[in-house]
Amino acid sequence: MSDPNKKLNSLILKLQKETGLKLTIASDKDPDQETLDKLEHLISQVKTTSSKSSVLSGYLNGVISESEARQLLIRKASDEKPAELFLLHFDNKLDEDSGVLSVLSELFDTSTTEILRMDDNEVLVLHFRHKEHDISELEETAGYLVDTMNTEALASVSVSYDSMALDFSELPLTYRHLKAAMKIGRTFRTSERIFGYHSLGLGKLISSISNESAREFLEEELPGIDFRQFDSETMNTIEVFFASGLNIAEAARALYLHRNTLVYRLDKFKKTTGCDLQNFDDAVKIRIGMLLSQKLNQE
Amino acid sequence: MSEIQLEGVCKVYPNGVTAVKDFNLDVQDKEFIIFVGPSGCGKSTTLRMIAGLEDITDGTLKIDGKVMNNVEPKDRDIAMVFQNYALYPHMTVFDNMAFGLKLRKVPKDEIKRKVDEAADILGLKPYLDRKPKALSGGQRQRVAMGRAIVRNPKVFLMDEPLSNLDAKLRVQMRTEISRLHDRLGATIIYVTHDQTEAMTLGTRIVVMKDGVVQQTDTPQNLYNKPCNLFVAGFIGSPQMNFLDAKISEEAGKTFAEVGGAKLEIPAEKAAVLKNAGYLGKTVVMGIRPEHINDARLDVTENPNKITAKIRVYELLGAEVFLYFDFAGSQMTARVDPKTTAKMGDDVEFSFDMNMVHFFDKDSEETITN
Repeated sequence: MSDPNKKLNSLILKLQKETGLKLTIASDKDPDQETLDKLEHLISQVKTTSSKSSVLSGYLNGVISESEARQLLIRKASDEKPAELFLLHFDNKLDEDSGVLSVLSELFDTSTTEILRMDDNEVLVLHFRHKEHDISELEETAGYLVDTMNTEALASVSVSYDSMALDFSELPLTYRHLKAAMKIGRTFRTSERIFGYHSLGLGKLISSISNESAREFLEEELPGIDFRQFDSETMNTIEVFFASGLNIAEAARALYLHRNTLVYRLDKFKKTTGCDLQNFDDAVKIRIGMLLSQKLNQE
Repeated sequence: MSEIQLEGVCKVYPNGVTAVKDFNLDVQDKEFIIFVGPSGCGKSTTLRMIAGLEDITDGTLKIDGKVMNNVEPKDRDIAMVFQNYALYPHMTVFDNMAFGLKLRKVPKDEIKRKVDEAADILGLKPYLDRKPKALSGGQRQRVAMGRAIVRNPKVFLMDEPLSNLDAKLRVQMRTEISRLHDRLGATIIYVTHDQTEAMTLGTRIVVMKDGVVQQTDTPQNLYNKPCNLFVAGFIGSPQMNFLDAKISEEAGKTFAEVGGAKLEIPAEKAAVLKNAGYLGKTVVMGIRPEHINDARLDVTENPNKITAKIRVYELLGAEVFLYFDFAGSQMTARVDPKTTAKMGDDVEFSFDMNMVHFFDKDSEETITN
């Protein structure tokens, strides 16, 4: 057999191995170099698009169906254990030499982890485990990821997570949760870097409200109140008072304030806004108002 | 040389929340600066702005005279040690410390030299071939510091690096960090919420609250001359006691009227209060627990006394804490363990009025410091 024909047979076998497709070329001539190059290029393209990473990305984004993904990945000997997912959003576009992917590869066992570059700023870590881990462990890992990216890759990053995907079919939903958590977290918790889907609270509801409805609520329920005019001392006092369950003594302790000073601040807020934060209904209104205001300012 | 200047630095998040407001600080070469304050005060945000991990909304950051606002973290010549560091589980200690240098394509022999040097400083030489799971908590912490040391940075930035350690280890590591500072001769900026850690480690401390610097001073000055109510209450453990006191005058003497008692204010402090127009007004009086004594053990014939019922008695060996209520406030006295006072007793306490502080009730600023 001539060399070009040997090469052609070898490429046909490779193509079959990659795709399952059997190519038959009906010709009595030896293949020319152009044909061989095209076939080689086709195989390389198939390899790229059917690599485990690209199949997973496609599946998570809904481009590839579950059955297609299972079929392709089975060829790649994938596993279907429960998986923890972490979405990392980098403040700056990722350079090729940023070291981020290297750091991530060394943090996780690459035989059970896929690190997927989702776009210029986002990387998804898919870590397959033998058993389910609870949400607190995932939160801890998210914390490690943020700090390690900061200190080793010198990259500023936010991380979102959700409870584990128990099997392959849950992966896309979990990924959607991560994207939602990242969007909601970066909107409403701008000083934080770790967002758990389970802990988004009111943010989830608020993000689903239209801007028009948000404005209507603010105009009708909190007329004349512009949260941007309040200084950081006031905003922090409100946040801590809410976090303390509207308990004066606890909030005063958390704020390192004399009790009377806190009461004085709450009275001042009441005089300015007409809302008494010690009254539950008013507190809820203000809480929702603050979130809606953040949403509108962000968009 | 590593000097850092922050001039009017501010951080405002996209939602309008101001995390840091008008932060000004000059850090001299080799200083050990602590940022301390409660959660949410802006200390970590300020550190992250110095690192380049957060954008600076307004103001200027300079390192050795060069403006750094738009310089990427990797080009700022800094190294960081953060709370939730993760060591590479499959690498040896050596490789963990070397990895950052490998990423920067530092030559192999230079990597070896730097890692060996850092390991020597940190006492990690015997462990260079071990993997993280074979290390103790303190050793792992030292590896995390080693990763920073090998970078040979101008400035070390540390954000609550000891927070995940147990109390005993924290105290031990605190000493090691202090020794490290002396040995490296490095400029360190260290963030903590723990005022004890701040007081023991720092050459200077920046106390922050609600994004604003409250006071920048030596540990001693912060303790003895707090500039406002917040600093007074935050620094010192147990916390300073605060009482509302009306300033009055009688027979040429000035008094702080508190809960029915009249406590004579020393002449120097009285003059300051009167000149500032506080006669007849209510101020906040602060007194540290160690300046309230069991009157039965006080040999100074101090006339400034109050009586209160002991709610809680705590023996700590070398000292006793007595907790009581007075004039609507929960108070703490740190007394000699010879005291015979016990829970439920009505006890006479003497106040060392030479050591009290007075603060304006509205502005919360110091009057007499």
